[in-house]
Amino acid sequence: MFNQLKSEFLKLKYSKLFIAVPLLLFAGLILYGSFSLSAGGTQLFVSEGDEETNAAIQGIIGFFAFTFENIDTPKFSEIMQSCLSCNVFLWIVALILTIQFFCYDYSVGTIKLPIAHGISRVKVYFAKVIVIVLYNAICYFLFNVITLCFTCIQIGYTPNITELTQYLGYIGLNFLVMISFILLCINICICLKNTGIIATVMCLFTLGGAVIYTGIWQNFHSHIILKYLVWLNPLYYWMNMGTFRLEYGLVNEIIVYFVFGLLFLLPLSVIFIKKQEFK
Amino acid sequence: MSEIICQTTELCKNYKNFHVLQNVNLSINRGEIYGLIGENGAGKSTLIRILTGLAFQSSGVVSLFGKTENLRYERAKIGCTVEMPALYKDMTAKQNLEIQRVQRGIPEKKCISKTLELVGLNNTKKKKVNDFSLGMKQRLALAIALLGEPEFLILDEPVNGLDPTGIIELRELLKKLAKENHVTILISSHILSELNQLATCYGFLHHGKLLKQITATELSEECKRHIKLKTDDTKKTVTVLEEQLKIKTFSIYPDNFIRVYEKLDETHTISKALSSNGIVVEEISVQGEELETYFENLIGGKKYV
Repeated sequence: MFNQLKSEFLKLKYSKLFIAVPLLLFAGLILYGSFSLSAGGTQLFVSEGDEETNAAIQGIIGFFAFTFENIDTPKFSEIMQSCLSCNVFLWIVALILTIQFFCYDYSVGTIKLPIAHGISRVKVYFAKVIVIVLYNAICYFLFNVITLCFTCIQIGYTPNITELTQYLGYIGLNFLVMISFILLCINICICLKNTGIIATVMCLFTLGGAVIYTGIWQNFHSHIILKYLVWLNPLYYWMNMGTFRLEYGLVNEIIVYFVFGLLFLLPLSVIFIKKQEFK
Repeated sequence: MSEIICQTTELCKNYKNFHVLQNVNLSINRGEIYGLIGENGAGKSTLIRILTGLAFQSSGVVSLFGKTENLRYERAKIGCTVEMPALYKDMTAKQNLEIQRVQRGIPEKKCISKTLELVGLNNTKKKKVNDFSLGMKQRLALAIALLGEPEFLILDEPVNGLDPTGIIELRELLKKLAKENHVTILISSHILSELNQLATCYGFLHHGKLLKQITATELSEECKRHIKLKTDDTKKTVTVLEEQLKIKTFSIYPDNFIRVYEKLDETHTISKALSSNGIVVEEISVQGEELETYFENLIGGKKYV
């Protein structure tokens, strides 16, 4: 297994993705920086509920960056909200990295080499998954730390240990969603194999889910089919977390989503890999 | 008796109602260069994919190095190229080999430069595989197959894209590997003239069926021009051939067939001499052909191969 992991890391190191992913994240950081520096500061891409609903639930959902009640006395929750909102870049990066890295061996036929050489398909698969998750984790946590530092410096706020732990908890929960999302992408990759088709399907699924959710979020639970489609969508969790709606059972939902990934999507992809024939 | 490296018994592969391989019984001995001959779509690549574990047989048994189950460890002794060269195009030749070396757990780093030199790619330096010619890609694919000094080499159409010099070099390299390192080689191709100069054993695959398996010696014997003769009295015929017609080079086969390798233009004289000695000539004809013609006749008609 160690050899497999090492070879997958080498593939990543020698590939364009190794440079392209940090560049994409850097572009995301520049965009985030431009939000904070722009006039007025506040950046919104939100859906707002009606007054009656707002009384029952928090009245807004979507993308927030630099929204402060009072810029002179900022709250840490507002800083956190801003940073968590910018996680949206990471979903795109995770999608690109997973599809490109996983499908590359399929598209150039190199997936056949270890298998023909007697290396276990499952080992090859797990090595790929581990490398994808680890590289995503490094990028994810680094990006979040940078955005937090940047925002705090910009606003002039010094967070204490409790606040930092809270932030770490939030981004940690969000990363659990990302792991399941990666596993979902990998399942689609194994079934479809074609990078272009997979990217299109996954972009439509991810962005479509976000759009649907902003449309139905107020009476979310009354939509039987759409509700499950949205639950499968990672942006549902990101949007709720970005607006601090954890008290509405979101933590449980995130854990269920993560367990679904580990106990259903992961074994499913192993079954696919074991049954697959390579041409 | 020589050791059998690879054997298939009643091997079948079906895709729904389409039979790609039908009861293939193939046997490759250690040190052999086995030429797998077949038209496009005959099932060569499918057979190779099953041997390498990339596809699964519908029925039948695959045996590698004498084992029929859990072939993963046996496959570790195999080097292979399957159809188009499988390479990382945005990496260099050395990086491609480095990944394979690590993946296969080969500790010796020197094997990379050694293998690159063996296939003539030691001067590619930082050139990416994307900028390689097809011939260079074929060489690199071969280098990957040769990495770790495999005991059994499976090459699917390895001469595709190689220039004449490359083909000669590949041929010499494979001959050297078989002779000096006792590497067993299974090579598939539809370029029969190329296999003719290389293989020590042939398997003819047609529409998923292995029509014939024959050694190079047997094949050259069959392809050698000769007079095929069958009479009602083989013993008496031999006496006439030796004493009356002074023919020295002939051989007797089962079913009392006699092959005469001289006086090929004198079938009439031979026939007359035998008849005058009271021998009934049941069959007399001049035979022998090129590998292409042999294959065409075997599959029952002239086709594009």
